[in-house]
Amino acid sequence: MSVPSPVILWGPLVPVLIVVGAAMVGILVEAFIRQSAMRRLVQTVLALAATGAAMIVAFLQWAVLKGDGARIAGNYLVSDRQSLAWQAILALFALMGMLLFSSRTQGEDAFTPLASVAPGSTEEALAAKRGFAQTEIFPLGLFAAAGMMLFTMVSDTIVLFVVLEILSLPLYLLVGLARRRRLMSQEAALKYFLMGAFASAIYLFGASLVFGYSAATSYAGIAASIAAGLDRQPMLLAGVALMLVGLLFKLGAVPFHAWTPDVYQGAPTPVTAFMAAATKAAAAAALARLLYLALFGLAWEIAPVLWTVAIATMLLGTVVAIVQTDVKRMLAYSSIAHAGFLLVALTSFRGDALAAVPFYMLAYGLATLGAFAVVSQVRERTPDGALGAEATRLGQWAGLGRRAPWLAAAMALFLLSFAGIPLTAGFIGKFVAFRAAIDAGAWPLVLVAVLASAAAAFFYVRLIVLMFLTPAPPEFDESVEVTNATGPWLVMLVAAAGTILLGVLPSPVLELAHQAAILVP
Amino acid sequence: MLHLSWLIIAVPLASAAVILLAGRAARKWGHWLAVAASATTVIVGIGAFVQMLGLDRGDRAFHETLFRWIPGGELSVDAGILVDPLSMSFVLLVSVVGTLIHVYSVAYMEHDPRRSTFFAYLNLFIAAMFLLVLADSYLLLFVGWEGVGLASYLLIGFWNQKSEFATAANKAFIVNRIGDMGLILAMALMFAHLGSVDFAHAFAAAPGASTGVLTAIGLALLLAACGKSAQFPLQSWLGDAMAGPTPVSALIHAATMVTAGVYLVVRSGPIFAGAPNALLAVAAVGAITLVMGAIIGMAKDDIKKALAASTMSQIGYMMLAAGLGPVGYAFAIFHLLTHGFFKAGMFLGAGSVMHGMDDQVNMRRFGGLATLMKFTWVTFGLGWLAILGVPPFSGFWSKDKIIEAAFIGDGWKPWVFGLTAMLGAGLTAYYMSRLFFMTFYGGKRWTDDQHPHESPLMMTVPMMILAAGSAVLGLVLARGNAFTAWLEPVTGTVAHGEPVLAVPLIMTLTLILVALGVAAAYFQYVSRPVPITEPRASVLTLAARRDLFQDTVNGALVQWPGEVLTRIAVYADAAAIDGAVNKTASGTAGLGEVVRKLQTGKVRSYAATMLVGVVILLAIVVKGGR
Amino acid sequence: MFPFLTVLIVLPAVAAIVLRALPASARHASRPIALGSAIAELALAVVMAVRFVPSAAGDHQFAQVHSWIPQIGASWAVGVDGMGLLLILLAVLLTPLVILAGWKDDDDADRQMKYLGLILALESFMVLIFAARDVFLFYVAFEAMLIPLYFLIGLFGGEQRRYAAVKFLVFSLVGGLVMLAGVIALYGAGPGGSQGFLTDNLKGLSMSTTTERLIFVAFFFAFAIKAPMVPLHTWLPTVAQTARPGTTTLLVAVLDKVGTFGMISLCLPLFPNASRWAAPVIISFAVASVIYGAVLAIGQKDMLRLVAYTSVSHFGVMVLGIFAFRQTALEGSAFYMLNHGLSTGALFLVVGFLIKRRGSAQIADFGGLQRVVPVLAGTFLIIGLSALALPGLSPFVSEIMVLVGAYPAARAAVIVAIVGVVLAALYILLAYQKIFTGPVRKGLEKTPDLSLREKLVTGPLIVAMVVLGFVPGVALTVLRDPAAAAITTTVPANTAAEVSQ
Repeated sequence: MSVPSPVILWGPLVPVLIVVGAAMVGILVEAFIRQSAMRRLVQTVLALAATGAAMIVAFLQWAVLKGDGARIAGNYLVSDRQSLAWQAILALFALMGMLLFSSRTQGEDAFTPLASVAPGSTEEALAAKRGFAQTEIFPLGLFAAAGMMLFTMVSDTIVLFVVLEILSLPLYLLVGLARRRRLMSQEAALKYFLMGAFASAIYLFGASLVFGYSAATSYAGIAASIAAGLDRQPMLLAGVALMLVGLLFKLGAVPFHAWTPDVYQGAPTPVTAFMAAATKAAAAAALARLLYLALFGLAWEIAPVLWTVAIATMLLGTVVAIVQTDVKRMLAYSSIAHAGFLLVALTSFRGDALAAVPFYMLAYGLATLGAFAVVSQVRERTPDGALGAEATRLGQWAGLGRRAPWLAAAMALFLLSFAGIPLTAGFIGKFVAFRAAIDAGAWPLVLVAVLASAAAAFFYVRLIVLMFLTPAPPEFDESVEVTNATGPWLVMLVAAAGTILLGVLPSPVLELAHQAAILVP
Repeated sequence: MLHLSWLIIAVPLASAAVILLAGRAARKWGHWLAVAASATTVIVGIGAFVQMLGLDRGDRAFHETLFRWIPGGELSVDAGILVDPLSMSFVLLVSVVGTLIHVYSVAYMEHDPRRSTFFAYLNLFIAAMFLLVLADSYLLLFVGWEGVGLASYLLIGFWNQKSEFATAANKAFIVNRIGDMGLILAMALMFAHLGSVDFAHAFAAAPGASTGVLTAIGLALLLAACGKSAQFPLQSWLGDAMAGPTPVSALIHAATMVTAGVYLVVRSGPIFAGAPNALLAVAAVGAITLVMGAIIGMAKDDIKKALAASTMSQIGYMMLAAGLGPVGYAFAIFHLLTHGFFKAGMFLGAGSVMHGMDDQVNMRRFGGLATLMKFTWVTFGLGWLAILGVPPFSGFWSKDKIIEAAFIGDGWKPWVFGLTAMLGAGLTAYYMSRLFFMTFYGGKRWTDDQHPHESPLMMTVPMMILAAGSAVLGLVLARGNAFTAWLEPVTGTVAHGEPVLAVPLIMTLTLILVALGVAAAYFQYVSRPVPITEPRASVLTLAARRDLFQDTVNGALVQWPGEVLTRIAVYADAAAIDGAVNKTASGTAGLGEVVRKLQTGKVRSYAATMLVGVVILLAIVVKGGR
Repeated sequence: MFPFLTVLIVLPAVAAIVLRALPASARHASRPIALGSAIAELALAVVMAVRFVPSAAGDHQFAQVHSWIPQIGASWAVGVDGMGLLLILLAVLLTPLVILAGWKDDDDADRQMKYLGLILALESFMVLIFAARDVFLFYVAFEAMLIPLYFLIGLFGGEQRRYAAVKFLVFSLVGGLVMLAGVIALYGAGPGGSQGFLTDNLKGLSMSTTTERLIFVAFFFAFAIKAPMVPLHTWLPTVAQTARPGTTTLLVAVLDKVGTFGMISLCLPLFPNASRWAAPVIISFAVASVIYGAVLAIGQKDMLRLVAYTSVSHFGVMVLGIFAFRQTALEGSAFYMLNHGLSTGALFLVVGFLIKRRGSAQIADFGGLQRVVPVLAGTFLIIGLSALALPGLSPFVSEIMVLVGAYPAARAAVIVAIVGVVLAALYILLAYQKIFTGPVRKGLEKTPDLSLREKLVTGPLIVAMVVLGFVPGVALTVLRDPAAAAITTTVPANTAAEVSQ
């Protein structure tokens, strides 16, 4: 078999190219700028500028897009409104993520400058004294972001695998770079890597089985062979199921979720924020494209799988979140539950879902980034008075409403959005997602979803209770500190504004989402 | 004056409102305002009465719609008043007796710091009572019905700093509410089957309704009447209601409110006309209560409770009469009027005795008061003669008619009802004589610190007027069947049947029984000294002293199961219903804890989970694909 | 035309934001500002009521429709018929009274500001939900108002406030989210489009029997939690016992009416067949609520819980009246919604006065107060009598309309419900007896009687009940057409004959 070299239309790739280019420049910056403060500044500016520019360009391309979109690299990549919408969303998430990456309090950020040394060792003290800074996070983050943006355009099973690895590898690294609780961070990175590799392998196995059935790797080719083949061979079905596993893993769906809480908890909070929002969005985008382009003809056969996974995901995420005592783990389980809600929309196999899913992810991502921005601001103080790690134990959030009313109010807003209370973006997101499912007759699934939502409200609200209704023990004045870094504040503001705007006046964005509900095969 | 009849309701109501809203400011003048308001009703009432007398018999029904109360729809009810001979009789009774008792109370309540409040409640009561009798629909009647209940509640509990008085007030209200269910149900039935709850339409539609429906309505109305008129089985509240100040007992719990049940039955004549079985039930209830009240009355030593038992019994007579149908309606109302006078008079007399005896109510502590309280003795004596049915006093004319009427009919009924009524006359004679003798005759049994004295004129004059009524009212109304004729537009023309026994025979037998009753009482309480403490007595007497175990029965049948049920319900609500809610919550969390255990933190177990997941998905998809 | 409803909705929200934005130095002014805005709201609502055309009470007047989220089919559509008008009046009347009643609840200016801000925010939603003519908008208000309420319960309450607030929220959300599924499905069954959620566009849909029933159940479930029906009622006593009387007043007197309001204005017209299908079961539960609520009220030791259970009983009567599908009964139910608001609102407020004086809500901690505080006792008694539906006070008219009016359609149910009349007397009078009669309890001899402020709180409510008791026509005139409209859609003429047989 010969692989024809595709004719590449470079224009639609510009957003990705900007980000990739910035990442490359970032590596050069690492090499050539010795002074760490300067290097940090340049990296930050570069990263923010690149993601911002990518977002703007994505919008511009939307405006000039001809027809429904086009294949831009043979059968491998397409550019259509759907992928542009995802790219804009991902660029926004990346921008906000980079803002969080850049956050420093008392001269320190969340990342270790020397990942290989033991915490508290003399080398580390020296590094701190010298003002070493970990700035490779920016190019790494940009590579991941570029991979995710590319992920949304893929329409070929092998390319999908490649891009999956492009976006995953930098994330594995980023997860292990926490300045504090380093062993936990590194353990998380390793788990993520191992599990990710496992999932990738399963995916690849599935892709090869599908290839064996259809002799095609392009979505169009697979769809054509499914449409032609009257005989639903187990090989095809098994292959499809295994491919789905790979993407469901990234989405964090049960039973492929196990990495989520450990990684969310262990990773540096800015990384958690970024990956929670962006990875899930990218995975959702890719899953949607795979399901709706390649596997549409198998909708009837896949539905039971998706239903099972959706129900398990919603229930497990909700039920286990109820008993969490750590904010980051709670948000991790909540993200699992949200993956379930997302699947509810995707099971419909209707065009509406393609509008609902990006909107849902936008609402969810904004609240997630905002919530982790708040998390990164609530810090422990070590006995010697220095700022320590984030105070993520739930109990440490008691009385936050009194000590930092705006921060707590913003957190409450994000939690309400997670819970899907009207007048927040989360509500509209849930509404459109559930509507897609109900229109397809999947009301039992929606019933499970609404009951899970009600139960989920319990743990979101519990945090609100803690912040506003529980007085803080006096020792918290000493041991818990609320910081005021610019980056997280900006993220919080953007996220809060977005959450309210999308909740009260979602109309323009919904309109765009509707226009984006088109896939080019 | 007929078109001003609404003032009869409005004036006392406004007066009550003014006094209550003025609060402390009304202490100086509140009682006089109330008396004036009550007197106004007499004037308007008499004026309207005179005007009505001037009308042809057939035109003696003045109906006026005051305003649209519940507008439109299927259930359209106007607030209107109906002044006809029946309601006019009540207006006169209530206004005259009410005003006299108002005057009496000015003196009786003189030392009470909350006197003006008392008068406001009295005004409230008569306003509600007028509304009850003047209403032109069952719904509006119900407003008055509940209004008198409220006033009764407030007045029984007037001295509610004593816990048992407050309990008595509650008991009266709640037992009455059981009766009220009947009235509500009756209205629901009327609405469903007669299409209206106002008298005119309901009565017009009644002949077209089935017997079953009319019987149901009649029984529901009877339930209401039993509550308000303390008839069996809802009689238990009346004795306790004596906790109220004595003028209240006289007005509300003897002369007027408790007779409302009789009014209700008589007013609903057109409905009962199609429901002979319901009428039979009315008569039966009346007969049972008649005997029951009399038996209780024979054993009571508390003068007010004895009178209350007598009231029960006498209303039993009225009910019995009403239960005889059109034959008895007029006699029921006749007896109601005469009873209003003599029983009110006797209650005021009892109040006078208590007034002179430092609120002592135990008759075993009275005795020989005839000489010390002459006015009271004489006025009470006239009431006594009246209730005994001694000719020519009032009670004779009314009660004898009832006994005669009870003997009319076929089969077993005249014998049972007639003999019961006749026997009742004898029992009445015994217990009333017992009361009269124990109080006014025999040796002095009061304690040394008591100085019995006659009450002031402000109290005795009303008593005298009522005594005069007790003496002559019956004769006046019975002359030429004047009263029967007066009521005829309402009760309908009575086809006179013949009693199963000859009338003179009935009369003679009755008088003999009365004489025997008086004699028995005389031998027991005048010839022989009255023990100060209750003597040992027969089982029947003991039962009568305890009101024939009415509270025990109610307690065992209603109250105790009710309390147990309430406790169970409270427990079940917390444990079962709310418990289920909390269990669901904690169960979910518990499930979370279990599932959380799967999150071991070990990569190998994660990988294993994932593998299991893969296998399951494969199984689903491959099996589904087949 | 002046956009009365929109202004009524926005005004309190603006006032709440103003309160929130007050600098710390000016926070002592939050009470007058809040009261002033609440009174201005009341005045405006009265002007609106005067301009309301009673002869067209069945139509939705002051209507406005603006596109809001056309992609979803949601519009900003407001308008009131007679029933909505009365409920809005109730809400805007109670709000200033609640503010006045709680005038001295907080010493801390900051807490005052927060409390009043939340009350005003709640007022906004209360007006919105009774004015909403779009199912989506209705749903948004239905859910969004949980948040201010949640904070009102959780921030300003007794010991168990956190438990109560969470319990309230979870109950409401379970109902609300199930309803959300119904809301979404309803859109799908309707004409769709950018105005697909307008109530008027959703009437007379042809749905399959199963679909209609499922959607109906989703809606009714939410409303049954709101209007607390046994066995979904247990959140109410917990909340009532814990929250401030002012909060509970608004919650029970106004917000729970959303349940019955929704049944009349959504369930009946939108799902007529399913409503008829479910009526027997619903009526059974309604009657169970009447008796069960009353029995539980009798057994309570806490005054606030007692009043809460009386409401369970009263809501049972209202639901009975609604699902009997009879003009008189339904009109009575709608009227009862108003009267119950006045009566129970007043009862909660006066109980609040008692608690303020004694520092306890336990009935056993009181006794003999009538001699000490006759005006308070009298006020309590009148309000209590209104709760037992004494004739002369407005709840009576509505209760009798329900009982008498529903009888032809639901005989057995009415007969059982009538027993509630006796139970009502028990729970009110026993409580009155224990609190006010008997010898004066030690420590209560110096209890102050009602202050002028407190009289100003209870006075208007009592006057309203007396006036409506004697001339209920004022309210009934504007309720007749809405009730008739609800019935004619539910029971078309041909089936009406069937039902009456």
